[in-house]
Parts: sequence; structure tokens; C-alpha cells
Amino acid sequence: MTATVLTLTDANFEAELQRLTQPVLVDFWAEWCGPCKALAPVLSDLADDLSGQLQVAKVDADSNPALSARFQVRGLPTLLLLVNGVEVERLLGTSSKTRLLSLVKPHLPQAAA
Amino acid sequence: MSTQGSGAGLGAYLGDGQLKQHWLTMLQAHHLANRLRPGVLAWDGSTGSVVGTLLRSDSLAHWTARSGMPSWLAVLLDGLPSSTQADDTLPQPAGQLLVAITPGAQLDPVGSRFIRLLLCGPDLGVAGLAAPWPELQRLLLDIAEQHACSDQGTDSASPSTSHWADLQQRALQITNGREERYQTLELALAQLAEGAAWDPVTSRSAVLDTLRLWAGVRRVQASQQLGWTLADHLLVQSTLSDLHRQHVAPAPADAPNVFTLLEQHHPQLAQRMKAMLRAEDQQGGLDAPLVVQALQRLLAPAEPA
Repeated sequence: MTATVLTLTDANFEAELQRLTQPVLVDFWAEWCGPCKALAPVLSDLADDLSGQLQVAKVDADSNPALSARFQVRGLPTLLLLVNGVEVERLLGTSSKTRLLSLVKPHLPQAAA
Repeated sequence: MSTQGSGAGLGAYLGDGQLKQHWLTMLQAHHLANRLRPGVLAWDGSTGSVVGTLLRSDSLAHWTARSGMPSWLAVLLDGLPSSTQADDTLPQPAGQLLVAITPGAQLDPVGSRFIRLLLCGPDLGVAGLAAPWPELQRLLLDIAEQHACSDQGTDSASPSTSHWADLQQRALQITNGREERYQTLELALAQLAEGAAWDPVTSRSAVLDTLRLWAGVRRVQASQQLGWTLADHLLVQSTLSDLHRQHVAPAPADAPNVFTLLEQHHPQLAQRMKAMLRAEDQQGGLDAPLVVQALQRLLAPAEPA
């Protein structure tokens, strides 16, 4: 019913990314960030729609400074689409589900989402 | 993906007035004990969001089965900005909405009805603002029409999916390539179309996200009515950049923030910017009760689907 949104951290990032075979949409967020909270239900919804084709993951930017620095996160929310561990798309700020779907669709294993 | 559960056929509160009263009592207890945390669905065993505390769970899958209400409503109840006052006995506006709901009401169609109100309702509708852009206005009205079809059950499941996808594509064609650093009324309306072109019954974030984007349209409208333009926006951006380069970058630890510097060095521009932000906030303050009243009216009658 509801697909799992994975929590990534500085500690588990490498292992989780090696384990995952599908594209990963990573949401850098923070507890104090209002737009991040507005985006969260949309991401959860998208994760359900694309379950099995896309893994949605979240990174608490404040608690994971190494990942924030590594991906040069300059504002929140920042969304990164990683395919085989490589960043292929980046989006800053809130977005509609339509916009997010159009961003990830070309990169899905079967572009028929 | 449908989020219907076994409780949906019984209607709101599974058709049980005692369940409604139990939930309201429970919500009041959580509120008075300060155990509610605003935001997305959450429950940590003692505190959580409105829906999380009612379910004692952070699983949306439990919502429909235990409440008989659609998933979009759970997302909305947790996602609406809080308007709770010191003497409120329930968290607001979630409490107002839960009180308004009649046990047994079939609420699935209400999501589409509400989105239609935001698009072309008599008080809240903003599609009329798109008159200068006929293609965009046609799209907003077509989306409203599709919501009417969903509401009335006149669109079977499979064509509906492609109809929604067509509407989403038309919205993207308008927003693609638009300057996103400055929110024009046209862009705000086109983004609203992006958010609204989903069936709430199968896309649980559609109602809350449409409301967020609708509020964005109203903010832009308020700032433009004040005379705020793209030229003003660009002037503020370039002035702030200059102030940062001249005063902050050389000694970041000692420098005041750029907005304080803006007030010191360009008081008239700072005043205009503050007036614009104030107008946007005031619009939000005026709209919030109208939105809650509209939702209460839609949720209250126990109309069959």
C-alpha cells in the first residue's frame, strides 16, 4: 500500500546505494524546513506509484553533513536523481508530482510509468 | 495506485457516531497533553501528527480501514498549516474538519469537488485569472471538467488514467522552459495545473498539493496587485548580491545579514519589499478561513458517492 521511503545517512549511504538496482531519488531535507514538509507527501505518493521502479530516499541534511557536502547541497529541499550512483538530475525547492514524474520517468528501467 | 481499504464502503467513521466521538475525545486528550507534532504522518509511540495519534501508527495503510475515509483526507489533515489558538480544545483546522464530517458520509468524491472549487468555484476559483493566457485557462477548465467527471463517476478507470496523463502533459508543455526564479502569475497558474491534474482517489497528495499551489497563485496575485513586478524582483536580487559582495563576503563573522544591510543602505526598496511580503502573508491569512469553511461545507453532507 505505501512504499518505503528509505532513510539514508552518512553511515549507510554507500552500502544502500550498492544494494539498490533501481534509480534513487534522494530528498535532502531538514526538520525546520517548511517547503521540505510540503514536498514529503508528494514524494511518498510518487514512491507508491513507482514502487519497484524507483527508490525514494531521504537525507536529513543537518544530521548528515558529509553527504550534504559531497553533493554540494546549497538549499533545501534539494532532490537528486541517482542512476547507478551517478547524479543525473537535480531539483531545488518544492515541485508538483507531475514535475517530479517528468523528471524521473526517462530514467526508469521501463519508461512506462 | 488505489488506496482504498476494507473500511471505505462503510463511509466516514465506518458509519459509527461513537467512533467519531471516541476519536474527537482522543484527539482532544493528545492536544491538551501537547502530544501532537505538526507535519507529515508520524507516530513514535507517544507523540505524532493528528492522523498518527488517532491511528497510533505511522502507516497510511491503516487509515482507510480504520476510518472509512480516503487517503487524501489523511494527507490533508496532517498537512494543513496549524491555526490552533491558545484556548482551542482541538488542534485546528484538523479538529474543525473532523467535527464537520458526518458518520457514514462517502468522502471519496469530495477531493475532486474541492479541487474544482479552487479552480473555478465562485469565491475561491482562480481559473479566471488565466484569461490573458487562453491555452492555460482552457487547461485549467479542462482539469476542472475532468474532476467533475471523476466526481460523477462518468469516466471509467482506464480512459481516466490517460485523460489525466494528457492534462499533465499539457501543463508541462506550458511550464517547461519558463523562468522559475521569479513567480509570475502565469507560471503560478501553470504550476497549479500541474498539481491539480491528478485524481485524488488514486493520488493521495493531489488535494494538499493543489491547495499549496493555489495559495501560491493567491500570493502572487496579492503582490502584483500591490504593483510588485519582475523589475522589482530583479532589483532586489542584484542589490542583495551587491551588498553581500561588499559587506558580508569580506568579513562574514562580523557582518549583519543582507536584509539588515538592505534596510540601512536602500530603505525605500526594503520598505517596498516588506510591503510586498506583508501583502502575501495577509492574503494567506484571509484565505485560510475561507478554505476551511469550503472544506467543512463539502465534508458535512453525507452524500452517497
